[in-house]
Amino acid sequence: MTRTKVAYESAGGQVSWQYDWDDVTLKILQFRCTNTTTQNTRGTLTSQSTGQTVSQLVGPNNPASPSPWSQNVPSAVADRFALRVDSRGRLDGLDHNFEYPA
Amino acid sequence: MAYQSNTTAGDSSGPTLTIAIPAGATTDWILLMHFYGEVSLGLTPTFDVGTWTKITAASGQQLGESTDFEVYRYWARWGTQSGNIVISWGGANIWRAAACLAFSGRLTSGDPQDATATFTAAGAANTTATMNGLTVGHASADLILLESDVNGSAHTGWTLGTERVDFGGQGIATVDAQGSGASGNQTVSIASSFYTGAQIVLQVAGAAAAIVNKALQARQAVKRASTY
Repeated sequence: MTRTKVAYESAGGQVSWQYDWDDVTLKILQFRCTNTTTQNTRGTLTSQSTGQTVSQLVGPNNPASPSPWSQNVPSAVADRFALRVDSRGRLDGLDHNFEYPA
Repeated sequence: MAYQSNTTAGDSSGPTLTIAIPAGATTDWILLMHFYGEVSLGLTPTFDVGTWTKITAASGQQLGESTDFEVYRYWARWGTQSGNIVISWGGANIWRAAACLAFSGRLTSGDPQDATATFTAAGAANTTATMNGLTVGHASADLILLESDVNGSAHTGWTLGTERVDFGGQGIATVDAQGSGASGNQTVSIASSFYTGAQIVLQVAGAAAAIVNKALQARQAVKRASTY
């Protein structure tokens, strides 16, 4: 499954962050961003259970042909990003913070 | 010549939202519209009155939360319109809220912002919302601090500014006559919630002219000195 967050949008472009997780293991697999603005953005994922973080600064891109940034979460780290299912059956266990400009 | 008035609307469900134009709004005033809607991925708000330019927006699915929200901020240079503004987004019945703030004495042409607005989308159980700082280019600016959260928080303890709006989880404070330079990161206390935080700054009218005048004065001083 994928979650998408349009973290910032204006007349000057858009910052879109996404992360994927495995539906069976509930581990975060990939973290990525497309930045079509002229300034940096920073995205941070934090595991609520372990405090483990993945943080990335993504520079500006040419709005006409944005080049997305992506990172596979290393398997050793992915274990620490295992999500949970709460008492209401919702996925839980991950915080995010997206900043613009960074 | 700065913040003047505001109106709020919503904090309820509906397919559109009608908000009154702030008291006194007239030609060349800058209006700031803050709009919040509980929906995932993809509202396109439109306005039946005024020409609005998007400053910031955020949308998306929040992992682990049963409710998601989108927040949009726009500016418009006002004319002589009065009455109400109807905000539409295609007819979906959603929980929504809006605030409209009016400012006088700002730039009368072009983008009225003095610096790029900052924006943070934080998905965590925070009780403190941070609005990242920016660098103000000209003195006598109007600095606007905005917080928006899904838990309908009351806002307390702004570290800067005077609170103007505390409505349906939307908190807005302003600083009149903000000096140039770094505004600094600012915070406000909220109920535990994920949130968005922003700083927006509006430039005072005549700031550029003031610089030109200083240059002119300097040239005149040199001329006088060379004359003596």
